[in-house]
Order: sequence, then structure tokens, then C-alpha cells
Amino acid sequence: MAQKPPSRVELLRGTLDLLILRTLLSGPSHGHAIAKHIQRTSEDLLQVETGSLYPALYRLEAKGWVAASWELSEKGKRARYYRITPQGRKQLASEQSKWDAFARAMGLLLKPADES
Amino acid sequence: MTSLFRKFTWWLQRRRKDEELREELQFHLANEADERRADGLTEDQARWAAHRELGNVTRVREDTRMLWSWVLLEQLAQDVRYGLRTMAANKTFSAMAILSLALGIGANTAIFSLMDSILLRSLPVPDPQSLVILSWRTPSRNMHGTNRHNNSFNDPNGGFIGGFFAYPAFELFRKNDSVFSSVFGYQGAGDLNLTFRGQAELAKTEYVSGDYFLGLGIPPAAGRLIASDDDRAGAPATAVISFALSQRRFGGPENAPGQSILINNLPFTVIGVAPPEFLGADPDRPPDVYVPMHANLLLEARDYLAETYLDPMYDWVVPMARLRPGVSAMQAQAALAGPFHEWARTADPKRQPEDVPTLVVREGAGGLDGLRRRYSKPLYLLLALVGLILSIACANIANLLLARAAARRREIALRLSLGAGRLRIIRQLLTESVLLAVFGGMLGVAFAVWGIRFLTLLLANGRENFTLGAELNWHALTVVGALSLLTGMLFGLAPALQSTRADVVPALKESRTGEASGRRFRGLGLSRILMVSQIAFTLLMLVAAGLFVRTLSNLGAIQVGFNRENLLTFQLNARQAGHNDPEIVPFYNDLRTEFSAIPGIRSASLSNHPVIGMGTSGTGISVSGGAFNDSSILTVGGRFLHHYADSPADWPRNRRARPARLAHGCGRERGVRQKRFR
Repeated sequence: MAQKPPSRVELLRGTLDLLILRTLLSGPSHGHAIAKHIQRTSEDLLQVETGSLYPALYRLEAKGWVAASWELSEKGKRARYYRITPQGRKQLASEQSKWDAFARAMGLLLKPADES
Repeated sequence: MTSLFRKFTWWLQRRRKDEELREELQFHLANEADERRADGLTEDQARWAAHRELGNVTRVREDTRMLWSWVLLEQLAQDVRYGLRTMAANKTFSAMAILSLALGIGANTAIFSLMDSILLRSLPVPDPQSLVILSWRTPSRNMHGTNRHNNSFNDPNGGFIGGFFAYPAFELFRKNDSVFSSVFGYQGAGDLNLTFRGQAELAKTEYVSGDYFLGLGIPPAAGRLIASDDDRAGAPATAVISFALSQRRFGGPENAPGQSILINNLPFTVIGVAPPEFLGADPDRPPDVYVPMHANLLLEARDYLAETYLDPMYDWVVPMARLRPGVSAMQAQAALAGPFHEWARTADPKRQPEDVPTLVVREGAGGLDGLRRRYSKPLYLLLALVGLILSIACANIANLLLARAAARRREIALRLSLGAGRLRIIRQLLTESVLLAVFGGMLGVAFAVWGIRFLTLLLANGRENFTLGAELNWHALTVVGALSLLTGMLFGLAPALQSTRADVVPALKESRTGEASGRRFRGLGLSRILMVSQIAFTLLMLVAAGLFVRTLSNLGAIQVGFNRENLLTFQLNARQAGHNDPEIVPFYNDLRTEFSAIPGIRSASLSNHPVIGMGTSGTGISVSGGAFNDSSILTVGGRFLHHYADSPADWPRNRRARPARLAHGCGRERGVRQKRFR
């Protein structure tokens, strides 16, 4: 697998799928746009490695969580657009609640109430 | 499963998928470059930046491609193709390796097939796991009774173990139907005279109890099999014949039922034929004819015989039983131990309390273990020897591979430096060696077929009706497969590890031919160890083989104490053939006279037991006032002889009615010597 050089904030394992699904919630998008969206929305803290983006997209497609089709981009070029499927939405919901619980637990542990 | 299905459909259209991915990445790069240009970079700079950002495009494509390909499988196919090319390029090496492996694997498979049929296979009956063998065990041989000493064996767990029981004990087991669904037994009747349509032959006969076939649960090949009602005193004389006999004498099993045959000149009716795969409860001694147990009252017309069904001191029935569902052999033993002990104690009051036999119930799926007892040791020995042969072959090939690895060092160093993972190269080298082993295994199967035939011949040792059903079955083929893979790994792993450890730079600097430069190849240490162990093992094998051959030739040249040249022996039984008491003595005497008269026969003689046989019995005679026990009498001529006068009056009276053996020899008789042998 691709060795990721240290980025501004390293992505936790397994979170890329979650981010892709979340990004696609606002509408179909192609790979480049997905990467840019994640980068911009995280205020450039997260940079998606293209080396892992495309394998992840195809993996999600294989699982049936996203669907892909060739469409014309805004610049009139053929591009592969990804859409989230109902199955993907379900997956996103469950992943998100898991992530929320994890983040809450981490927050509680790292910032105990007596310190704040 | 949908994801697996999708993967498969992707795999089917993998070329298109590949093209799509390429286009998609192209689009990504173009977009990225556009953005960079918008940031004010020049055309070239923007393109390079986009490339830098994307990283190794080939890598990304490979990573993604994994989703629609079975990478391991495809790499394996690549490795196999490459391995085949390498093999074709080194024909001599490959042929040598494959041949030596084929011999090793073939020998192992042949021995294993025999072991499988002798030691591991179950009787060809339904649910063999529920069959048990009943036997008794005593701590010492302080026992009385008939048949007890001769038919008990040293038990590896201590004491003596025997499988023959008195009929009352058999009845006792039969009454205990809480643990057994059926109890059945048999007794060998030996070779009886079977006559059908005027032609006689000796047929191995077995007395079986009425539940024998029912308890074993085998179906008839034709007609019906012996049932409980056939096994009682006064029942019509019936017989079941083996499938082989039905083919040999009746022209097929369907013709046999209803035919009447003579067994020892007594009329019996064939009621059915046993199935072809069934060779009796003891596969060592496949009977030709099965008759009901109580038929012994007819066949062995002796006064005391009826009493043997009542005599608790006369052991003669070999019992087996089928457990009820859910009952284990241990439970059956526990349930029967008390009653049997009580019976044994009252049956023989003279026995010391500690010598009273205890009952042993053992797994009987494989049938009775005459064959096992006889052949398990030589088979284990053979297996150890052929295992050694295979390991020598492995060491040999490993050594050759090491030598070749030294020559291939440059190739491997090149691949390592081009970025091939060490694991990947080891995998490829292992594929090559396993490929060799697989070819060796395939050829080994051919050797095994031939080896099994040879071994069967060797073990049968001249016995005509040796029916050891050894054959290549899926057990043996599984073993071949496993052996091939294992040996391939075994002899491939060390050289593969060695050769991928080579330092890349010096190896690359070597000249193309791969000749050694300065420092010696590190694999040499290992190859030396292999060489030494190979020589040591080979020496060991040579010594063993030498001893074996020596023993064989010694057996051939053993001094038996008489001249074996031009000596012929055969046996016949006048009583079984229908001669009656008063005429038997003249019959044998006439026979001898007639034989003596045949031109080319120097002398002919009769003996109660053969000169070399399974055992003798004799009565004492007196020569010149000294008594000799266990004497046997015959004339052989030449250097040895024991001779008595020609007149029938001199024949020992007590043996006149016994079967006689006739020997005629061509030695020159020289005076009279006497010799005693047992």
C-alpha cells in the first residue's frame, strides 16, 4: 500500500471512507472535486492523498455505497461522477454515530472536567 | 456477496476498467494542473506540480486495480509461467530433480497406500465405528483350558490378551443386549474339501454364528446370507460362498444360489454369495466358504463336539459385537466386566483369583487384527526408510538449487534493485520449487502404482490368495499432494532465503556469467551441511539395504539339515476326499508305491506334517532303545534321512488316519542316520 508522507494532520485509518461519503451527501462529484472539498472544508488541515483516494472510491463502489457514472464536467470534459447510494447513507449514519461516540470519549479523556 | 459479485463482473471487464481508471486519473491531473495554472504557474510547472501531488500514477493504478483482480492469483499465474520457462531452460536440472523426487514421493505413496489398507482402513460394512472386538486379558499365563495358550498374545499394555472364547461366554455376551445390538462370532474351519460338479479343491472355510452377516450388516451379492435360523443343530446344511469363488467356480454370483456342493463329501446347499468387497471379519484370512457354526457338528464328526458348546474350558469362538447407538466401547466393557468376571470365576474354580481373565472391549472398525499384528512393524520400518529416501532427495535438490541460486545471483540482485520485494522474490522461487515437486509428485503416482504391485508381491510372500486390497485411493492421492507441497517448500525455502539475502551492489557488479568475485557466496555453509547430512543418510540407507539383502540371501541359503535339491512336496487329505478308515492306510501306501514307480523319481515318502511348515506335532518313537519325542519321519535321501522299512506294518499306527504328506526326492540314500527335529 502507498506510504503516506506526513501531512498537516494525518488521516486516521478508516476515516477517509467517512469523509468521502459525507462529501457526496451534498451532491454527485468527481474525484478531484472530492479531494478539494475535503481540503477546503477542513481549512486545509486535512490533505487527501490521491494515492489513497482512488482506491478508496473504487472500494466504496465495490461495497455498493457509492455509484459512479461518466458525465460531462462543468468544463465540458468527460469525468467520472460519484453519487452516494441509499446503502451508503445508512453506512454513513452508522459510521457517523460511531465517530461521534469516539470523539466524545476522546474529548472526555483528554480534557477532564476538573481541569477546565 | 454483492461486493464479490461486483468484483467478479469488474474482473470480467478488467481491460475497460483499466482504461476508465487511466482516463479518470488523467482528468484528475488535468484539473489539478488547471488549478495550479490559475495560481500563476507556468504550463510545465503546473503539470509537474500536479504529478507530484498525485504521486506515482502507476502505483495508484495498481492499488486501485487490486479491487477487480485477484492479485495473488494473477501473480501466482505469472510465477508459474516464469517457473515453467526456467524449468525448460534448465532441462537437465529439472529432469534430475523431478526424477529423484518422483522416486521419493512414489515410494512414500506406495508404502502409505499399504499402511492405509492394512492399518487404517475400516471393514467394508455399514457404520464400522460401532463394531467392537471382544477379548480377554490375564496378568499371567497361568491358565488351563484348550486353545488358551496358543491363541493369546503379549499385550503391549501388560499381561496376555486372547480373542478366543468358550461358547458359554459367547452366550453370555449375547444375553447382554443392553449394550450390544448384536453379538456374533466365528471360528476358522481351515481348508476343507469343496467339490462342485465332480471337481474338488481346498477351500478356506469359516464357521459363522447366525448373527454374523446380520450383525456386520452386509447385503448379499446374490441369494441370501446365513441367518439365525440356519445356525442350530439339525438345520439344513447351508453355505454362503465368497464372491471370488462364485466367479471362479459357478460362472458368476447369480448362478450360485441353490446349487449343491460337497464339503468334505457332505452335501451343502449354496444359499447366497457374499459381496465382492467383503473378505471376512479378519481381512488377513479371507474365507472362500461360510457355513453356520453348528455345521461343525456335521463336518467334524467327533463324539465330543456337541459338548464343546457347553464346555467353559474350551475356547474356540472369536466374538465381535455391534454397539447400540450412543454406547461407547468403554461403557460396554464396564457393563460386561462384572458378569464376565463372575462367569470366568465359576467356570474355572481352580484358577487363582488374580489370574481370572478380565474382559476387554476394543474398537473393531478395522476388523480383527491378524494383518496388523503381522505387518505393522515392517510397514513402519519401510515408511521410516522411504521417508529417509525422500529427505535425501530433498536435501539433494536443495543443494542443486543452492548451486543454481549462486548462478542466478545477478538476476535476483537486478530484480531486488528494481524494487521487487524480497517476499515477492521468495514467493516466486518457492513457486518454482513447488512446481518441480508437483511434477515429481505426478510422476511419483506412476511409480507408486508400480511400487504397490511390487510390495504386495513382496508381502504376500508366495501366498496365492493374498487379498490385500491396496490401491491408490484419495487418501493416498491427498498424501501425494501434501508431500509434493511440503517437499517443494522444504527444499525451496532455504535456497530462496539464501539467494535473496545477497548484497545487491557486489552482485550487480559481477560479470554477466555470474562467476564468483572475491567474497564467496554465503550459501556455501548451508550447502556443506546439506551435503554432509546427505552423505550420512545415504550411508545409513546403504548399510540398511546391505543388511536387508544379506538377510534375504541368507534366508535363501539357510541350512535346513537336508538336501533340498530336486525335492517336491504336496499335500492331500484322504479322509476329506472321501476315503474311509479301513482303506486309508492302503490308499496312502498305494499312492507312495505308484509315485515311486514314476520314472525319474528316486524315492517317495509320506509325512504327517511337512518338513518345513507352520508347526508340527508328533508322538514319541523309540530308536535303539532311546526315546525321542516329537519325532517326524520321512525319507529324503542324500545327506539326511530318517527311514523306515517299506512294509505297511511298520507304519506308525497312531497316525494312519491322519492326513499324510508325500515327498519324493532324488538323493542317493546312504545308510541310515537319525535326526530329530521339531
